[in-house]
Amino acid sequence: MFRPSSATLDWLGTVARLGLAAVFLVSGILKATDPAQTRIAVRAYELLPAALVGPVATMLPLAELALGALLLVGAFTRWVGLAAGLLLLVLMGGVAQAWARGLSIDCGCFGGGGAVARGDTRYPQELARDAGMLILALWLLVRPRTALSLDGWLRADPNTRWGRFGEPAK
Amino acid sequence: MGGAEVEDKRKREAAQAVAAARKSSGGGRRGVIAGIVIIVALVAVVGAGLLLQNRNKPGDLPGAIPLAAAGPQYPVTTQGEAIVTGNPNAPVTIDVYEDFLCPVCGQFEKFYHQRLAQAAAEGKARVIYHPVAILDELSTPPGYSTLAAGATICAAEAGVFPRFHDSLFAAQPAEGGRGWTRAQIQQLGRELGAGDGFERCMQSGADQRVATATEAARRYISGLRSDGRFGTPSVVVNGALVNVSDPGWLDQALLSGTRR
Repeated sequence: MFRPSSATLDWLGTVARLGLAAVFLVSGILKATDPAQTRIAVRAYELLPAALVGPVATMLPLAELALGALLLVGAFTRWVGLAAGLLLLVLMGGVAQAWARGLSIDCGCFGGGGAVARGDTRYPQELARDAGMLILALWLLVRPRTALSLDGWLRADPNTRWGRFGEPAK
Repeated sequence: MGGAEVEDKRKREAAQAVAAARKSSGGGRRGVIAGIVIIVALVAVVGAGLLLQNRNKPGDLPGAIPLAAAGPQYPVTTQGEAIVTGNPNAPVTIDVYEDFLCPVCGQFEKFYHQRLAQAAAEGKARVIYHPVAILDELSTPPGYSTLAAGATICAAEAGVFPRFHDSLFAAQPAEGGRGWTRAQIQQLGRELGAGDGFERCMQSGADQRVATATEAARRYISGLRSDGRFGTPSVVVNGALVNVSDPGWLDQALLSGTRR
């Protein structure tokens, strides 16, 4: 059976980490750019009491940006993977309940959001995309070691610059 | 020298080398650098997000609320928080529940207000307006729905309902954006000839009255709907909820009055 080397898995982890970072950074920036629209999007899920819509709409993009930044540099990767996974589960739960209750909304995942015409919902696509991201987050949770990460640099034996990934300085 | 001793010495030398290397590359220093990198990355990215959020906060709507043209004249009375227009004994009662920030309500007003005013003026219908607030958190700052609904109840009591209501809808602020301010709304009342009582009414418990009216409307409308929800605009004709996206609803409503 083909067994990828540890280094290969590390690089695959890097791809997962940077991919997830890119998605969170982009979605965070798009939401932060249009705070009013983000409030409309959060409200459209009809889950939160009115008093919580504003704070959640303010914090969500900032949380996404923070996760994106930590993923980008590869710090606390396992915990960030866990947090990203939990956030994705919450977002998927929101989309799923909107679908189940027959609301017709756009998820507002990348800006936009709010009510849409009845035939214009895209719940399966939105859930599939989130599930894909969830797999990336789970990878990092289960196997947080990635190439080119701050974690790896910290953990590395001081004799080797990039731990296992560069040539060990023997 | 025995073999064990050599082994021992090698181990010691290796340990010293590792310790020296650790010292020179600075195990502790890496932690500090990593901490700095993390903080810089977080501050840069989250700070940029905060900056974007604040830069894109909408500014005040400029100037005064434009006055809508005067429409047909019809009698206006108030019953609590409900604004009763037209002939009180008309065979048709049309209850209109609307939120002043709701875009669909703006559309509804654009399409039907003229005809509703006409029906009220001609005594064909009793049109009851119920200003409610369900979109408070969708203005920046929040609360425009309540402010506008309360002011409209007060405007009705001050005798300037028709043009006040029409002006607010004709100049409806965008959902998510900045609403008209309290001062601009008071100015509108003054321009239409509302007295001091209007501003007193706005200051004293108008918000609470809107909250009460909204709750009552929510209970009433959700009981009429199969899905138990409440949205605006909701229109009830003689006690039955009508679908206002059906363009014939008003003709049918008025017809039901003549047939009786």
